[in-house]
Amino acid sequence: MRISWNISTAQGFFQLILILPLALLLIFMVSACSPSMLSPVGSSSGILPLPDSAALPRVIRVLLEQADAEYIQGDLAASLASLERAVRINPRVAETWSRMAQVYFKKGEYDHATQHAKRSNSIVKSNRRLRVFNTQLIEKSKQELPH
Amino acid sequence: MNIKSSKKPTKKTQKNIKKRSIGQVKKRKLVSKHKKQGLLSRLFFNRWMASSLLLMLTAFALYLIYLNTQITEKMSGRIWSLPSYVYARPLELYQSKVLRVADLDFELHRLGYKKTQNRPLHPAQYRILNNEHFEIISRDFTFWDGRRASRGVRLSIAQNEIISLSELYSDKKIPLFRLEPVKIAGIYPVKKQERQLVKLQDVPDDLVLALLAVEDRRFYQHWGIDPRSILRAFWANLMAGKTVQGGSTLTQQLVKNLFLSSDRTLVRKINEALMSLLIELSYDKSVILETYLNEVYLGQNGAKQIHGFLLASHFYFAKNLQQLSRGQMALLVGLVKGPSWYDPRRHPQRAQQRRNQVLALMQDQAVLSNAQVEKYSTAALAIVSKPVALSNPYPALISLVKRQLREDYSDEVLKSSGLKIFTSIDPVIQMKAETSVKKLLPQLEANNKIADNLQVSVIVASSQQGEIQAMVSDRNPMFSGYNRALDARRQVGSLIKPGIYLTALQQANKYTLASMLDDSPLHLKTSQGSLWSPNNYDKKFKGEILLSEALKTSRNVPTVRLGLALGLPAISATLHDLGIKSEVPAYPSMTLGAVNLSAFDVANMYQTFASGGFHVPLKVIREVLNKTDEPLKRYPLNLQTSMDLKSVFLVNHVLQQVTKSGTARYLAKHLSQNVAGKTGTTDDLRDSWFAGFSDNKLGVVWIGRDDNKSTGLTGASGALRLWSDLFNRLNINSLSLDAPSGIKKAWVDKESGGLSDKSCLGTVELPFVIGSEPKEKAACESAGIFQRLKGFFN
Repeated sequence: MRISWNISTAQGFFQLILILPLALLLIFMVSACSPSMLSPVGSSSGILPLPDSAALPRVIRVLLEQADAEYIQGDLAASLASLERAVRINPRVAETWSRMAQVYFKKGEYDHATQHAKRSNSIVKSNRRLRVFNTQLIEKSKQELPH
Repeated sequence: MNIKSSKKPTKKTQKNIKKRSIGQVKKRKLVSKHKKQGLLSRLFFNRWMASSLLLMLTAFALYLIYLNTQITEKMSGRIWSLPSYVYARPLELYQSKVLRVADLDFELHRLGYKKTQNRPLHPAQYRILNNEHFEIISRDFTFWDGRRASRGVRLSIAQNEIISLSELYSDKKIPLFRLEPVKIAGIYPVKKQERQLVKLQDVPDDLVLALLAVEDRRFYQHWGIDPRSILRAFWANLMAGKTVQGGSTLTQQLVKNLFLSSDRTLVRKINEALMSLLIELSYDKSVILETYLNEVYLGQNGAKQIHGFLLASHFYFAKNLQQLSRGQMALLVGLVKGPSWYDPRRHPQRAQQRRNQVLALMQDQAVLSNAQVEKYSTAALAIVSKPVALSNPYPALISLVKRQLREDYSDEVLKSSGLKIFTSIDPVIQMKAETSVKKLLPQLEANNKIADNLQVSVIVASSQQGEIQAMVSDRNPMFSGYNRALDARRQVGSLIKPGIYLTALQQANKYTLASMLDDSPLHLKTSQGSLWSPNNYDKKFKGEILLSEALKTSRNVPTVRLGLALGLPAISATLHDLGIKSEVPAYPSMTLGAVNLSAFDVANMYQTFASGGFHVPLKVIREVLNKTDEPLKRYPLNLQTSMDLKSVFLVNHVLQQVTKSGTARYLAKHLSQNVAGKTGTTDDLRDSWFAGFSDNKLGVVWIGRDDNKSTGLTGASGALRLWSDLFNRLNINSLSLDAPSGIKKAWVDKESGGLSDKSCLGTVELPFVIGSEPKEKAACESAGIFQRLKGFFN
């Protein structure tokens, strides 16, 4: 089928060429800014997804998923209890401490949030996203604390 | 009157006649009066009698009310106050958990689970196959986070690790299974009487049947006293020619037990009968029976009385009621009649006869068959040797639990509110700590001439979570007196040094592990005007030494210099941040540990090092439930402060070297895993300390004498040995010190502290805060080819 080139088509085509990169730029900017726009971070629940199974023992995964579910339901005390169970089994999982920081933040206990986020960062190895999350949580907690 | 008499009546007779007739008239009057008033009047013809009878009735009624008040007081004290129970940590089972077969077996045994030959069918049963496979059915239990129903699991252990965990009936894999926690102690309402209370539903039916068969067959039919059984007993005793049966009901016996009266006067008997009737009026049969089962006197343990079947079951057989054989139940029931007379330890033959008598009565009442009676009559008594402590095998830990609870709950609430207290106590670790203590102290005393009358404190905690897992406060762990681990404040000596060096290293621009310290004679004028010349342990001086060497080899003199340069307030502040809340004296001798601390304080301090710089105040309680299993309070992981992680890392690096080539190098040969720690010895060898940690276990050991005399032991030759023995028994992971960001390693010359290279002689690799590495290069004496090869293998 032959496209009949006329002036309106050409104009439309040029408009598209101009608008498309702008749209892409806008999308890029939004996604880059999203950590500070959403609270606290990332997905709608605010909880970072768990790393793949190779990195996390199944027993910890199960407890963290349980803690996440309790957090989403709003049962913060239960969430903390599940996270503490995970810490007792293996205290060297940065995700556990990070989640505890997040729960404390939600509870308004900013001192505890800071300490747990720091603890998480002291264990993080290569998960940059988690490190950034923890740092931002510490920042936000500092802002919330009375001066 | 004699009509025939001709005599005229005299004046006297006339008087008599008059009297008689008056009397007759009076009598007639009275009789007619009585006739008018009827039966009632015959009985109560005197108004005094009426009123006195009324008074008697009122007095009797008042007396009954008085008796009833007494009963209600006693009964409510028994029924409505529930003791609080303390639980150990629940054992979590999951794949790749490090767990020994013997330890799981021990845990299940402590839980009162029955080991079966065949596949377990009911809750609280388990079996072990081939010494590697477990089949377990757990009980229903309400944890802090809710009720968990009974569940069947099967797990396999190979090389001290769980390799698989699945459902018992399907083969579906389970990621995590939590066993219910062991109940380790109770806090009881009645002072100085050890009690273990049991609910009627938890008492085996056979035991109740046996008791009723022997003591009160018509328990459910009578109303407190039973004339029929009194007569029956009388007849039976008459026939037997001696007392074989009692006529008292269980209710009467309960009254006797509650009011602890042994005199058998008539007044007592009447009171007992009245009270029995009153109890039956106010309380259900099941309540009476349950109270009886918990009250009845069944033996003596030294000065302590054994009341109740559950406690007796532990006292004589070291078993829960559900674990008793019918023969053993029969023995306990038989003891009701006379616990001293039939004491199975002092009079085994009498006890056996009495037991068989009970078995016969059980057969009589069709509780047991002929065959069963045969079997149990010939069985041995199987009494265990007298236990030292019954309901509280962990006195040191329980006193810690009570102290921490007292911050939130009064004593009254604890004793009577039926709280369920969940703790972090680990019965397996506690057992191992006690074993090490019982083995090592006699050994140390035997091998060392001066060591004698040694005492001990041991604390084991999880370093990352700050939870106490075991505590020993006396060389005899069952002893429930002075709690040394919590209350014995002794000089800590060199244990204080990591705190001082940490203070220094926090100033990274001024002090590094390669800083040179001065180990030469030092003379100080104290504030009192006297001269203090601290000395090293070996009485020698090494001149200039590396800071890391000074800490690793625990040199005193450079430490004092360093401490004074830093200033005592700065050190106190660091110690406070580390977790030492008590006041530290601001004298120069503080730098050498002339500070009195308990093992608990020391554990708090070293927890901060063990966690890499995150202080979590040590605690033992996790959660509390109320008597209806509702969550009451949770004690969360309380991560308080974080120190500067880099300087903590630097100190930990040296503490690890202490165990490889420093004062605790004994561990390099006697423990396969990597650990870190510090020895502590005080003047004249009065205190021997070691505080050390692996990946997630912290242990503090103190050995000394209560009279503060010399033990002849240093930290290394005393406390360290015990610590080593204990940590060899525990399942520990090697400590892996991960450097925080901002740390870089460099080779340093040992003599000068200058920057060097691996290939040079006399060098050591040390971590530094980036930017603080030594700037000056040291002269390098190149290692020859052989030294280089040696260095290569080091």
